[in-house]
Amino acid sequence: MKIFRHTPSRSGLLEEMSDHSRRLFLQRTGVATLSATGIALLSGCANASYGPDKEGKVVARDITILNTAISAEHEAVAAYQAGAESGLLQAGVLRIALQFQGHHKAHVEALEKAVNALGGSSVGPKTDYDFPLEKLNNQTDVLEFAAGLERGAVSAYAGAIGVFEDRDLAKAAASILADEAMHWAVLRNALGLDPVPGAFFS
Amino acid sequence: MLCKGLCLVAGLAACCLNAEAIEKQAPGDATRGELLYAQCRACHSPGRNRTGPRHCGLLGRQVGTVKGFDYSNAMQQADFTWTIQTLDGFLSAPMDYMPGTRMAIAGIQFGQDRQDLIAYLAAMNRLAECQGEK
Repeated sequence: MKIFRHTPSRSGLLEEMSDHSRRLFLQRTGVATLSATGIALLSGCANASYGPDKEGKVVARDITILNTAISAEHEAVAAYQAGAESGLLQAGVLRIALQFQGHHKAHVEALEKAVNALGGSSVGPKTDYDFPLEKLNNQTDVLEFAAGLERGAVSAYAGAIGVFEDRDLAKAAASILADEAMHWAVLRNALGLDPVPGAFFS
Repeated sequence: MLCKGLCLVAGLAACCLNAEAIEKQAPGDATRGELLYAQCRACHSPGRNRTGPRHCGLLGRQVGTVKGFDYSNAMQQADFTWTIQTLDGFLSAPMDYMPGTRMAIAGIQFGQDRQDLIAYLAAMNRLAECQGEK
């Protein structure tokens, strides 16, 4: 088994910042303002959260979790591409679909940076995705398909947050979860459904 | 690996007979399990390989044997069958039950939730998209 050593590269401004000052920066700016760079930055702080006795094992585990998320994000990018190319979306809906696809691309980029910062290798997209394209006959079908993926993505991040060893990565995952939840709500609203169907998500 | 292959062949032969029996043994509420399955749809679907493998025919299947799915080493090397008991253990804490699995979730905490979900997985073979599943 490959042993991952946590030797994140730090450059530019980050080299000028101590772990303490980076944490202060994050506390002041808040998770809601995290960008792709911010998530990579968080992974650059990851070493502080790992215990010295189990670092290799738990870092490898965090890399596995990140790569599972990357796989799902790649699928989402491909799904929105399929929807965009279906010819079934009205111009306004297509614009939003491409915006959401852009978010998923940003998630991939951020998660890949986090994996690389942890010394791992990120997974690439599949060459082919088995989407139920034969069932997509109108705009509503495409929106329902996308809503299902986004709802699933919220579940995935909700499930992953609890297993990240590095709590900074968990915070970054929560930031992505919030974005996916907003996608889901917008898509539900477009489908004429209650955009926020409950006080809790399960 | 030879053992796994032989088990797979044996499993395929017994599949149709086993599926109904396993469904009857599953003690949970499949209707509630279907609602819980929405969480699984992040990575799985009944009839299609996605980030995770398809679920049609899951119970009674040798671990790591869905055709065309790229499994983790941990799943490839595992040598057991998905039963009500093994699924219950795995779903409670996947990354502890099988270190190296890519199923990166904390697990399903409540036993009743796991039992209901397993009941739905057992009943899933009756879905149209699972028809013809070996």
